[in-house]
Amino acid sequence: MATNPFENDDARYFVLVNEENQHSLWPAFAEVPAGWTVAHGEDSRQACLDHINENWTDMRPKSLADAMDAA
Amino acid sequence: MSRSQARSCHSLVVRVPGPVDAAALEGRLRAGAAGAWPQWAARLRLWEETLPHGADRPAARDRVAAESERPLHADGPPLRAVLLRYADGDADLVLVARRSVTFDEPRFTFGRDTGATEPGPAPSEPLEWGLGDPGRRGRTGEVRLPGPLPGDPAPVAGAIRLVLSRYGTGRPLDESRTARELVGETAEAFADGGQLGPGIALHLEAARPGERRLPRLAPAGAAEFHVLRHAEGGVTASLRHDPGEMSPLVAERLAGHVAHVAQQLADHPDRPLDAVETMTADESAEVLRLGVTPPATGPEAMDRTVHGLFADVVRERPDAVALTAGGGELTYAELDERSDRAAAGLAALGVAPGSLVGVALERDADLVVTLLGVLKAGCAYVPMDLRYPRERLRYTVENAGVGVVVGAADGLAGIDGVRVVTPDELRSLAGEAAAPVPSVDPAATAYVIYTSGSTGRPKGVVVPHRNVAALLAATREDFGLGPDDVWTLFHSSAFDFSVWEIWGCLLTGGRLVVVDYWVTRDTDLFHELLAEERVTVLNQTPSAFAQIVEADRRRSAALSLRLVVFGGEPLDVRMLAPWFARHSPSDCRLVNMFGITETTVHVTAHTVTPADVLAGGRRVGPALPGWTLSVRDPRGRLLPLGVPGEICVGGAGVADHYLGQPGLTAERFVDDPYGGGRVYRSGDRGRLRPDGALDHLGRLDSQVKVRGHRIELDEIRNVLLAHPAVTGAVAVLNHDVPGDAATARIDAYVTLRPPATLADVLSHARGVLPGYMVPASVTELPRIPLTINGKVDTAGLPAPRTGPGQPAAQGADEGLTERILRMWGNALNTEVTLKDNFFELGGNSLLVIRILREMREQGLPRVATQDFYRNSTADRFVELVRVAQA
Amino acid sequence: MTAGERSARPLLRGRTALVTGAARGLGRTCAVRFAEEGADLVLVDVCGDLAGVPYPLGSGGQLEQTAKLCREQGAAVVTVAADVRRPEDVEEAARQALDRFGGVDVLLNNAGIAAPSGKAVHEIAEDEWDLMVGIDLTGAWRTMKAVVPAMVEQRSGSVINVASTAGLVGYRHFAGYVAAKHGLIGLTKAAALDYAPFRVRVNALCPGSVRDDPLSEGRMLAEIARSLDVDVDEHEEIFVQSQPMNSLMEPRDIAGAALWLAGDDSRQVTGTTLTVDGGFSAR
Repeated sequence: MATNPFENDDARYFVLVNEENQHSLWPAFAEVPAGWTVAHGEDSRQACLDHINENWTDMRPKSLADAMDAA
Repeated sequence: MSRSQARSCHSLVVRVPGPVDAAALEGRLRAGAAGAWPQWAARLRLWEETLPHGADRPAARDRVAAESERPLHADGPPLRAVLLRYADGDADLVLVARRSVTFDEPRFTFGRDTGATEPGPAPSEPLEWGLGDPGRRGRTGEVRLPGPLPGDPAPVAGAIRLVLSRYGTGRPLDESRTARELVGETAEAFADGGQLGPGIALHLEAARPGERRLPRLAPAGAAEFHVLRHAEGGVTASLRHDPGEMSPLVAERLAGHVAHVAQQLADHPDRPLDAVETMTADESAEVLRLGVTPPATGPEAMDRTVHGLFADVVRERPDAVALTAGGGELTYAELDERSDRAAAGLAALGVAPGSLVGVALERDADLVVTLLGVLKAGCAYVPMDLRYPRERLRYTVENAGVGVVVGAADGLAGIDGVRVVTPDELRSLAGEAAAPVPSVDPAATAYVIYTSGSTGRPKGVVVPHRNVAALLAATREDFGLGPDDVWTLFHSSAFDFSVWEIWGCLLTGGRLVVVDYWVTRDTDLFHELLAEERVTVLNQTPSAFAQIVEADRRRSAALSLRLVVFGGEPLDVRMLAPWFARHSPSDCRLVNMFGITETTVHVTAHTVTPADVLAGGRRVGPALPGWTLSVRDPRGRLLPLGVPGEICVGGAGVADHYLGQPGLTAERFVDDPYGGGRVYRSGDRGRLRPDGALDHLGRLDSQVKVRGHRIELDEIRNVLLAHPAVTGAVAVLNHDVPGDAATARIDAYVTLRPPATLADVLSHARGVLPGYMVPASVTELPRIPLTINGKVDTAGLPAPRTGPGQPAAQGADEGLTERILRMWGNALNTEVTLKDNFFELGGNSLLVIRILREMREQGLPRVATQDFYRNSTADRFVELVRVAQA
Repeated sequence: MTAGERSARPLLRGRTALVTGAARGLGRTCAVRFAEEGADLVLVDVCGDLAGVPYPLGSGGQLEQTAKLCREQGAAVVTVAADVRRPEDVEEAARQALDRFGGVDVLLNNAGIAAPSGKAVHEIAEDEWDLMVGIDLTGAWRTMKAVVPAMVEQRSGSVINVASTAGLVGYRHFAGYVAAKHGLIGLTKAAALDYAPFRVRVNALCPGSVRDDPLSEGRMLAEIARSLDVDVDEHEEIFVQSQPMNSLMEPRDIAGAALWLAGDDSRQVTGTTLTVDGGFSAR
């Protein structure tokens, strides 16, 4: 079986973010699906993971976080 | 007709223009035959049929097809000639011969029957994607590839290779190459056809006008592609298959995929192969749709909190019994009141809403009260099993960042930075204070449950309230869950099966019987409880249920079970045969559910029937209402029906994330390229059937299930490697009895730096890993054997240190000691001395049950499970039995 | 479904049936019925009168007529003239079936005579007894011997032995026929046990009084009437009165039963007797 593109150290990736601020790793060759925007990339897998680890600090869905902070 | 006859014959149809002189034809046939096989010549004749229609009518084509596919009989002449005369004067001559007889030129000079016998077909694995029906073996099906096809056979042959590679058959192709490269290479390597993969052949021929050739009347393996180049231009192709190996639906789809890919290869030669689509957009949409089960209810039912749903039940049935535990009962109103006070206690402690609260309690009424109290306080619970080693508990507390753990007074002794309160303390802290107003946001987290992590550390799965509400909405009506039901809480609160047991019961108004730890370890006692408490809904791992099936055969107490749900590990349906013999599926429904923690306990449901036991199979059923299923390749592309790949789950059950692990979350919870939304890549392998049900085929990696527990072998490996003296390690799954899930065990191998000993390593492992993950054996090796790819060569590992011993023969006058030691030795597959401890030799709770049963069968005294555990060293156990005998 | 229509879901598609006594009567009706269900046919008949049998038997012309009716249904057909008392005839019929079709899936042992009869047991002559038993019982055994090995090889097949209510109960002055038909049922059961491990099924079909249908050119009932001293001009009316359902069997009724035994719907049925007699033997 071909290597898993989500775990392929040599391939290129994007970091995608949806409206709940959830981050996802995305292989660069594939089309970006609707509802997700490109937050970083295209870049190496490690660089993308670093970006995610640095930027996605509050992992709560955004709508939940907003509701909780308002309360 | 027998397939071996069909495989060893070929046929040729030749158009004979009218007027046809049959006698002359027969004469030439006989003359040719006399030359080649004189012994048969006299018996050779030209069989004639006159058809009432013209040659171009479909009925005529059917007759030609029927005659040209009719095999010879093994004991007859090696050739049959049939003349089909048409109404317009023309005729078709159909020649069927053994493959060793060739149709030479000039015509009707038949090659000598070399008498060569066909080698039998190489036995091959059944096609994983074929979905064949063994009952239909032997009759060949034929599917024409839908046209128009490219004018050259090479793109068609290239397409076949590419599609089969994506199906997982034959050599995987490098898809970074262009279409042109693949087609060119195929044209060279497969100029005359050939074997494309196990059981699948390609025949490439130039069609001669008025002729139809069949190189084999039945495919030698599972299927054959016949690609014909026509002299007047154009290419046609068909797929001939054995329905025993490849269902007609799969064959039809495969033919469609080849045609679709062939067109793309021909039209876009410079495109890279990975840009070529296997399925059309319509077919992809259909496959996606098949994996979606629409929600059973409207969104309002799913947009609820757990405690909100609980409050509904309290309102309706305040005086109904909610919990039976420790000899006492709590009504819904009482449970409501106590959990209010637990919530108030947490608030008084200063635990802010949105926090994570650890819960490390024995299974009893206080456990349920506390879980509910945590939720009402607007927090999420992090359940911890008291029997985990301290190191693991410490890790969980730190990783989850819990400030407060509700547990026994000394439960977390030695773990700093956390405040431990007992349930009693919580109650008194609450004092007269009112319960906090519970949050109403269903998106808030309800629980965080930790699962094995391959890096060596477990990971916490964050699940919101609404996922639990969705699970209830998906199952309530189908399973008929309601106030008349009695459930058991059997599993550890750290195992998400308990989420289903607790909330499945309490949010539908049932009565939850909390099962004491020792009763869960003693099948007879548990069976007794099931009968006495009139339990109607039972949730079990298949390994545990196997014990109940056995106990049920022996015991006379009648059970009130009406629903049994299997989860946690694959189900071998054959073990249910004795159960079905005693319990009709209409009285007690058995449901096999495939599930993952990351998608809220369950994903699919399949009602198991006696027919399933006969058929075997790995069916786990369609997605629950509100969940979606798809099977994808490593690139995230959707795979066609039947083709195995990674099971991806979407919909209402997808968890929020892994606690504190954004990178890992981003890798496993990905967005769905086909329709938005998030999809969890399960790492499990499966295939989708035409009815939308899933077959579960195992794991893609090294995660295993041992008695329902999810274990990453890599986690064990990494824990071992963390010991300073361990320089190399590997953990493997073995079965003492092959195929018997209950005898699964983990064996570890390490390379050590002296002066460390294996005992050191084992006690290190015990200090970090929960009991079920501690290897049954650790064997020291000078070197971990590797394959050529640098991976561990598991086949090269020696038998574990406590290798299989020969079961000693039974002596007629064996003393008690010898008998016990022999029994233990047989169960543990090793030599046992009086100083050995049962569990250190690899024993587990299921083997304990086995030993106790065997003792009973041999007329030895009954020993309670608890006593076994307390006397688990052989000499103490023998003494125990001796005393009991007296 | 009316006679002469091709079945929408053919029960015997791709299968080959060998029918003895196929020139007329029940043999013809069954052969055509099988053809309607997609089978190819090997039609066997003695095609000529036999010394000692006091009435005309099927002719070559009649056999060709049966073949024509089968071909109209789209069947491929081979016709063979064979006397079931002669091993070489029976073996040749089997050989032609295998050469032409590669195998046999259904064997309908229908060849049989009803006369000479009409005598008490001690009045039957040696050669009369031998003739009756030789065709009606031994003939069926001989045909099975020639055809069944090919069925065993392919691990599937269905043999249908046409017996009679005379194989279940006795009739006065009919001992030869009754004995042969009783024997045929015993042969059926023994053979069923021999071949069960190979999934080749053997069953007996017991028709009651079957009306002679002009379409099938049958004449068996008339000959039976003659043997039993029943007025041939009124035999139908007389027989009808002894039928609980007050009607005679139609050849198509028997053919329907034969079809069921031939096809997969009866795949777990072997060694049994299927009686189609309007309730006659239940009295």
